[in-house]
Amino acid sequence: MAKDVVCGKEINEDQARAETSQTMHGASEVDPTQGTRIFHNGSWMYFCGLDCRTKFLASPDSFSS
Amino acid sequence: MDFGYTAEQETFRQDVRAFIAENVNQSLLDEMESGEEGGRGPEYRALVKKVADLGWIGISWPKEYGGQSGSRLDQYIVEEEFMRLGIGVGGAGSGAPAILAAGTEEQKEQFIPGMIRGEVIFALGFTEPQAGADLAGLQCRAVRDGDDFVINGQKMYTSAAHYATHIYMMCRTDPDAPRHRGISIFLIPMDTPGITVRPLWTIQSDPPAPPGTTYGMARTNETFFENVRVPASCMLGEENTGWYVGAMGLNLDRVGASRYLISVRRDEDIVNWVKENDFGGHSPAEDPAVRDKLAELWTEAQVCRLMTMRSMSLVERGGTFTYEGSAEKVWAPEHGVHTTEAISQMLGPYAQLLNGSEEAVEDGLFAHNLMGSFQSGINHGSVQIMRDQMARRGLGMPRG
Amino acid sequence: MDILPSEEEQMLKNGAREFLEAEISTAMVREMELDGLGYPPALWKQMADLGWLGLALPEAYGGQELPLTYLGLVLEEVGRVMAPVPLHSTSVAALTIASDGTEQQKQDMLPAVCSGDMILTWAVYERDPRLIPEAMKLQATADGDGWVLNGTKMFVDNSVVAQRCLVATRTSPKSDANEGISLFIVDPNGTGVSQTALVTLAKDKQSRLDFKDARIERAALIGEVDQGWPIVERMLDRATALLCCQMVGATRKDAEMAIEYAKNRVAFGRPIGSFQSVQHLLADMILHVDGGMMLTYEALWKMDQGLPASVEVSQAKSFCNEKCESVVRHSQVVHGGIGFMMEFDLHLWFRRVTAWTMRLGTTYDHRARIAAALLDVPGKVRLGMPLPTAV
Repeated sequence: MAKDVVCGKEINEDQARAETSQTMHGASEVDPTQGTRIFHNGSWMYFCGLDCRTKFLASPDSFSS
Repeated sequence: MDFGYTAEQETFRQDVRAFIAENVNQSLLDEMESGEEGGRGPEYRALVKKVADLGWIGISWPKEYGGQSGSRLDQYIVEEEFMRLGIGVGGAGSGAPAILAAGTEEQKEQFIPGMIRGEVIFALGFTEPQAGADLAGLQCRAVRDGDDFVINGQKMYTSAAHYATHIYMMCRTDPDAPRHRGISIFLIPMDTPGITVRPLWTIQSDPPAPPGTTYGMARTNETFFENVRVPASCMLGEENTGWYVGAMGLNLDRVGASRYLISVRRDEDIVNWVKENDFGGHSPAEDPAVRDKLAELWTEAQVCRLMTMRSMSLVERGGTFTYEGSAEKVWAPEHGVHTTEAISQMLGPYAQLLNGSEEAVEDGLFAHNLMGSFQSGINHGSVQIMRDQMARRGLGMPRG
Repeated sequence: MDILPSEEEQMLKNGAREFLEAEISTAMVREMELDGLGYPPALWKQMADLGWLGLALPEAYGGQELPLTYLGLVLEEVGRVMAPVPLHSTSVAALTIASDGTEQQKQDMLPAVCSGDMILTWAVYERDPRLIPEAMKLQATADGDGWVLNGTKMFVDNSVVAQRCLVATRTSPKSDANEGISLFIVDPNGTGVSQTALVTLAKDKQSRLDFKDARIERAALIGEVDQGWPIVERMLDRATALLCCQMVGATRKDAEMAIEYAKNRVAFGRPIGSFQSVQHLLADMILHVDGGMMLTYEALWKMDQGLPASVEVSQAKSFCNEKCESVVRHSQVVHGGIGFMMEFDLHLWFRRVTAWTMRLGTTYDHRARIAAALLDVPGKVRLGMPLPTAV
């Protein structure tokens, strides 16, 4: 499990990454309700959604991961 | 100065219209509205194939790659006629100009004929969560590993990702170089392992906007790249020159019918609507304030058209833009907003009724347009960025 | 379709700029504001020698028979330096003689115009300043083989120096057959006409013309009796589009002065042109001048092709009225207090552009005309295509 550093919610990384279908030309597609992520300082951080991720990006240093 | 079309061009336009009358039917428009397969379902693909068989896609692109080596203005005529129905056909906005200018022989042969036949569709991977207007701040990394590159990072608003065959993306290849000089462009198949697409539903998704709505798309995406390994031959242009290749391509892609038509179709729609309709016996077309506003908007719309014509004239002459492309990109989107907002005041409470509602005007077209018109002043360089460019590149203003 | 100037058009424009910038200084502009004639005759003669006075007039009468767009390019440069010459009023009247005058009228007037020996003007405005037939009250009463004129014309350009003036008069009440308007050639300095100078924002030469039993002969009639309004309309459309050329030329120069000023004027330790608020203002100024310019030349081009152009003229003028005004005001803003000083030249442009926005149709007048074309004729409209026409 990962933690959304903004709201503190637990995010299931496996579910956020799980392929639920494929795009028309073969990319993996995920369930958007399972959270989002960002590649930050060499690793993936998980968030419950765009609101929290946007807050994080506005001042990454103010959130301890 | 010549503001008219030649007899040949007029005839060609009639041919395109006749083709559209015969081949564009309601079931195609319904398929596009449903958003299935990104609005590019079987009927759409069949249409593209027919248009391509006529030689009407990429008319200005070289013959050896499936184009006609023809006039950009002829291509524009095709784009304009289809765009009036909200159908993007013709070649503009495809990414082809950059590939033709910077691509290797293999890349041109690999992509251009396929793009013409509708078999190759690029998603654009420029924007990132931390790099939108300030695109040169992008962080998606591509690290060389022997003959390959390995990509890690993500792209935002990859609107075509769910139906694209490839992604045309900018990555940072030299993190130590000055920001603009460490970027390269890659052309990557979407089925490369490690690419994940997360749907993002837009404010136009519920209910779906009727066809032709400005930025009426229900869905865009964010796309993640996790140890995506691609051969170095996927790179477009020289390593670390991607910023310049991309900027040039964007400028050329921006020229054409779509940018202008997206912003002026509502002017035609509202004039035609008020001429033929009324609300319980009251006709907005008789209101002096409405009449004055419509005339003002119509005039602004003509300026949109003329700015596009100026860009087309420049392209046909082989000239380069100083500020003309940016000017078009300020004027047209802002005009689209003026019109859409004015319409909401002309229709009053009817302008809030969405697609599917009882009493909705034109399937809620004008209401949905309120949510999309400002969007065209944001993407592909906001109007604020465009004014910066006009002032600095066009007028020689010093940097702040 | 290539809406940029051709090589030949560019050459003409460059030539006009070179000549006018060399010959006309702001000192001369200020001097002519106080001058009784309002123009320097020697310069007028030079312009005749360059062929500019007959640029769009028929070759048979000493002109060059070039398209109106060419005359527009010269007038754009005239506007740029605010050349104090009666080129606009003379061209407007002469073009009407060329298109609608009798053979005798053409012979009498056009060669003299081309050689610089005859200055012309036109008089349509009355106290009700709408440029519509209903506002034409000046009465022309048949008297023997001629007419007698009684009434008032307003805002007549250069009448102090004009030998001839085209005057729109009422000869009959409006009927089903026509508007009852007739157009005559009158000597504005002749018997029965008195001139009263108006003090204008642009400090140009405009007058009120009072007609008291002014007698004119049959030969002074342009076109047919009572059927002059369509001729007047065409004259006003040409006049309007050509005035837009002057506005665009003057406005662009005004904007360029703001651009230069912003690059050099330092505030808070840096050029004010490095501030985005100023940059965006300047970007908008260029957008607006360009828009007015393209609309204007499209209107002139359509006239040259013999296509209907009144909607295009109204588009150009309504746009120029608002946008050129906004540009010259913004230029004042960029210049700050200095632009408010009489001895600083900037206001010379501000005054003229502003005054021109008020002439030959207000924004509301022109938008009403556009709206009528868009809304009152059945059929669908499509941008870039001819509007539906009444059957």
